[in-house]
Amino acid sequence: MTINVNSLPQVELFGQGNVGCKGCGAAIAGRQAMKVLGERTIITIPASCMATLGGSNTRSAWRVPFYHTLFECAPAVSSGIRAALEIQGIKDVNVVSWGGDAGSADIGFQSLTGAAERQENIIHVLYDNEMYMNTGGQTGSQTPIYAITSNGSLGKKVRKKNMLAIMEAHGIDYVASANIAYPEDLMAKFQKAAAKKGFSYIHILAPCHRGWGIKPEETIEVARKATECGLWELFEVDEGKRTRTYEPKLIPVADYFKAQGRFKNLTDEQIAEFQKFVDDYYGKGE
Amino acid sequence: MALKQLPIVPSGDPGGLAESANAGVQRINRPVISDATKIDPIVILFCPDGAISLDESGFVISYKFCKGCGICAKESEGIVMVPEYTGPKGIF
Ligand SMILES: Cc1ncc(C[n+]2csc(CCOP(=O)(O)OP(=O)(O)O)c2C)c(N)n1
Ligand code: SF4
Repeated sequence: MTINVNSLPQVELFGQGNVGCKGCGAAIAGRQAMKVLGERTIITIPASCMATLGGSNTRSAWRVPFYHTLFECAPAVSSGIRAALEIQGIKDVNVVSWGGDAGSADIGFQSLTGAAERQENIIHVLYDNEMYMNTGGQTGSQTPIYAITSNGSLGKKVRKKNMLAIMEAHGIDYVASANIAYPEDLMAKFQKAAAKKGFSYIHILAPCHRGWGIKPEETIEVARKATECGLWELFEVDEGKRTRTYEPKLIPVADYFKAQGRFKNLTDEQIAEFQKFVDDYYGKGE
Repeated sequence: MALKQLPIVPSGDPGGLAESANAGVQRINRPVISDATKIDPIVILFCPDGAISLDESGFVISYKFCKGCGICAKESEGIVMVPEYTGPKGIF
């Protein structure tokens, strides 16, 4: 399915007036998603940059109900909201929990796995900047191996936890990876997720220029390189059926790493290691 | 009124951040349309701040919302970044 940019709704349900940094990848993800989710949406966000940039107190950048939850429990709050809507017979509302990598894969994981197991009728989004950015860029389970962070100047020692595989193992209705540099693909996935009766999980790569050591204007370019080099595969698992939704050009992985300050210490051997992994995965190795 | 008739209220409008945005304080460079015919409409979806829109008159950039990140100028032709400050070498 293709989405025509010119025919999208003009209304901006999120984005305008957000208090994020310029060039924020998370804000881009939020805007693209809200263009398809529409105004009949309730959103819950745990402690994270996304919660902060949505505003606080009486001032909000969201034009839909936005609930800033505790760190551990956005999917649980969404489950409760869904139950309340059910009891009132309201059926046309999307309930979305929108967590960062810490709020979904680490500190918020227990409520996420619980909601997925119960097959709650909600969408959970992990917007992945691969660090704990709101508290200054610490290492988390979604930080890639070797990346330098504010509390890990030598680079991470272990690999990124594969959240997509973990969520797929829950046997939920819909699992997809997405990337802010491919808005049509991202929006088509939100459309599918919104139509499901059970639990959907969408994992969006959304670079943070401050954490990644890139310039603000390079946010989209670097995100695109992640997919084009084969490291961030775009795919979906729709009720068990896995499809790759975009065929990457397979540019050298070095193009992706060399663009980023957080990988400045990467050696040629380490880059070759990644290249071999990608080549094997896409069946291009000898 | 029965509970189920209550609207799901849009919460952002009165006094919301979208009404009184102050994005301009972050701006060092400002995007300016140099050739509207060359602009790729996809940049509307790349702008983090919803500052570019397309109406009947064509592309419009709102300086109320734009933080000057430069993504639009990098991703599309027809938009260029110009310094906000025009002193010697752009220093104000
Ligand atoms: C229980 C609890 N522990 C720690 C914090 C502090 N805290 C707030 S945001 C945050 C990091 C969020 O990281 P992530 O979910 O990756 O989102 P990002 O800020 O990177 O967008 C932390 C540790 C908190 N608010 N609550
Ligand atoms: S410079 Fe950045 S914030 Fe301003 S219009 Fe372009 S993409 Fe949007």
